[in-house]
Amino acid sequence: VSDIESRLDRAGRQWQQAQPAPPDVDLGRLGRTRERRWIPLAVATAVVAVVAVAVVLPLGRAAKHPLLSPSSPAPPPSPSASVHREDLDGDGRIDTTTLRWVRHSRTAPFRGVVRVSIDFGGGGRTSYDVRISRWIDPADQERLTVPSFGTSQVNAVDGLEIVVTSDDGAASYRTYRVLTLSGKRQLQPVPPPGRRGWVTGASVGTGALGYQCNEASILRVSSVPVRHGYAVHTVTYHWDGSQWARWSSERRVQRRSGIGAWSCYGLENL
Amino acid sequence: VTSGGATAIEGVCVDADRSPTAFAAWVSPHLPAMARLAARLVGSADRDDVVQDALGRAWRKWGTYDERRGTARTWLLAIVAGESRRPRWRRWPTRRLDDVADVPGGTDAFVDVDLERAIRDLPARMRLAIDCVYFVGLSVAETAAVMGVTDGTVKSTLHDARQRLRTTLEVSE
Repeated sequence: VSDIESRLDRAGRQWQQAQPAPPDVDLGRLGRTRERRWIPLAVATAVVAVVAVAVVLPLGRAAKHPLLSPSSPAPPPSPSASVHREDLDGDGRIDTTTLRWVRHSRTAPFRGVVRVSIDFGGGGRTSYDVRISRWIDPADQERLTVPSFGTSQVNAVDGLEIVVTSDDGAASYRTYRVLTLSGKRQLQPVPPPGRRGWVTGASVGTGALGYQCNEASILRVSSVPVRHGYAVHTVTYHWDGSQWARWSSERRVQRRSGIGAWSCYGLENL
Repeated sequence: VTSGGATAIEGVCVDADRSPTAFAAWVSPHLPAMARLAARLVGSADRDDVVQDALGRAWRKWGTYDERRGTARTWLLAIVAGESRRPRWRRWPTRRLDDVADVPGGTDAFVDVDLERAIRDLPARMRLAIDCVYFVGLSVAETAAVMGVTDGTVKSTLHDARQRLRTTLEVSE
């Protein structure tokens, strides 16, 4: 045992002995939800909306031409929608998340734009459009379905993130968009850790890339085949409120490749 | 569509008491370690607030706890570590040991001030590893779970941290 280790051991023991008793669990604080700072904003938004409707609608009726030209193309019919109910913002009330195609490519219907909408349990609604490069349902390739999505705590901040498949590529390769709720309860994208986007995939010959969510961090695990197995590179990132901060990295050679998908609670079957 | 919490909540609700009292009983064995970790990360003045915030968060996420992925102790400590990183507690790293009272328990006990100062000058990752192992009393595996890294990374981080502390203390002495 080196000098510094014994010094640390001694300091740690003495520090622990000097610690006061831990606090008791404050049961009154357990059920307390976060402050609802969005209420003034919601009220202001509602007032603006009412005024806008009261002013714009009469103007539209009075105009010689309708506000929308009859020749403008109608939005394509939504082939299907996917609805999911869960408390996303952490206020204890169930929110309804809906994914629905809003636009398709003329030549490739599996490409287009999907709208992610949230109807909050406490009232209010927000939405975000996600561009889909390709979505072919592995369970039913003949039918155009809504891209798979899931919810999980990706950035270790209260509330869940929505993970939407944006490209269902060859083999197991997939890319995703990850959306989170801002303090103003607006959906916004979460940038990926690293430079390659939110990507997962695995194949025998080329290696694997995946993510593992922890309580305080996310691990990006990539592996490539080498002579005696796989070189697995694990990088740990912490979310600092606006971006990922690289925390540590580790390389090791092992016989099995690393994960090639999401290892996050709620996203295992994504 | 997969769910981030409902399944687990439903699964646990079937056979477990999910009341606040049951939660308090569940976390009580781990409170000393949680308090120690919070004290190390944010200082003694904010310790109790961090612990209570972490408990509130743990309570909200209790349904997502999966014992197959780690012990309750490491799960709770990881939440404390995450809570301590929130911006409102960030002022801690800039504090100095100019007054002994800033060192937890400093007025009544012997405090290796040079060592404490050297620890606080370490990079955040090294400091967390040293705090977890020597001051909170966690094993390497538990520290790895709290930090969200592998055991090997914790060992190498501890080695680097000790090396840096040794150098710093030798220079200062």
